[in-house]
Amino acid sequence: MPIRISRGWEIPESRVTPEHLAFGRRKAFGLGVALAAAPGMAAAQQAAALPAMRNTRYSPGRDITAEREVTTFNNYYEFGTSKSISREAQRLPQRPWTVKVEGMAEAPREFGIEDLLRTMPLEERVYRLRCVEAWSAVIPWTGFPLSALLDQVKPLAAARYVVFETAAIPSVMPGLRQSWYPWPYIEGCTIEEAANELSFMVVGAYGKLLAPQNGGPIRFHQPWKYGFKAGKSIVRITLTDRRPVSFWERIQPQEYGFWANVNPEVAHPRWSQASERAIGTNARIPTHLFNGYGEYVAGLYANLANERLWA
Amino acid sequence: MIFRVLALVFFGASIVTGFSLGWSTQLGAALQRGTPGMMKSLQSGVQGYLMPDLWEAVFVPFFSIPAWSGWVVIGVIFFIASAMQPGKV
Repeated sequence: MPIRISRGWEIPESRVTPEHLAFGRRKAFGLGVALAAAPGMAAAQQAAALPAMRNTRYSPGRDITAEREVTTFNNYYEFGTSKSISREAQRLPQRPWTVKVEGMAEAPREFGIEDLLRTMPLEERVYRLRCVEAWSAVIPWTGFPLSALLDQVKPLAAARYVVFETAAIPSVMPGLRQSWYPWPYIEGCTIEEAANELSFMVVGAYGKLLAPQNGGPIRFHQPWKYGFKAGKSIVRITLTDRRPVSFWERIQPQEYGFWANVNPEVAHPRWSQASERAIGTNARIPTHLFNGYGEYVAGLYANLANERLWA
Repeated sequence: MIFRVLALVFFGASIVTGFSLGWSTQLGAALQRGTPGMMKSLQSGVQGYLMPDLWEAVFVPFFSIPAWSGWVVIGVIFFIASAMQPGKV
């Protein structure tokens, strides 16, 4: 019976370092940009790797939702009112892309998405996402703190609010034909909320560049608020002293407010918010105040008892 | 006679609507302006209780027509009805 003795350089397959870890993220990102820049390479662009170190401070306490569920079940009214807009959204060009940060700032400027990917402190955070429609997901976002971006433009002391504007491109967004909606999609938060450590600018998910249907190439996310507060495909961020009237607030102010913090005890006018369906499953799980992030954000609202904080 | 009068009323309404709201204002936009929240509620109702795809396939095209043309359609119906009344040559 032959006896096989492994040589020193023979390493089992299971111990091979994954490719996305073996290559530096900048190198992988460089490839991604090259693919994204090539005409007709939308699919390659979405698949481009964007590895980043996971920040374990924000453990979701639940399993990560399957990538397929998150990339095929989307709210993006610019592409349609159903949840099945992922194919339609592929038409949104991801490059070139710039984000203007302007308004009440000492140094307003326009950022190219490649510059943001290259210069900002990218990290991965696994956040819970709670939609106002009572479904939820757990997603490993890649991005950087909003505060890091705002630091670059130096907000003036008088700036009280941050306004996010989503791209509105009629040639690729059929939903814009519904002129009864107040396009472009506008959302906003206070400067204090923007400065909170959880406020996150998202440029990737599942270790890849952010897919268009999820708000690529860059979106916003505050995990303690209902998902509609998180603008997708951001083209403009404005610092202002006036509280913005957001997209849904303008359409249906009795159902959607400015603050929209998650609260299981405050029902939507047409359904309960006490529990949520984890997408990809039929399981209903209890919803938590501030989507479970109260320890980070409850202090923001300590002196706002007269505000409608929960819808 | 009454149908013809009604037809003229609706034709007049279309002209008033066109001048007051603008000739390109969609029917859905006019309704939303008159009753804020109406279009989203209607959409939620259609998608929740009838069929999700029905909204985009039928309702969006319908509400995308110019607001003034809705009156014209009704006016034309009355005009045709008046022409079909017995005794007309």
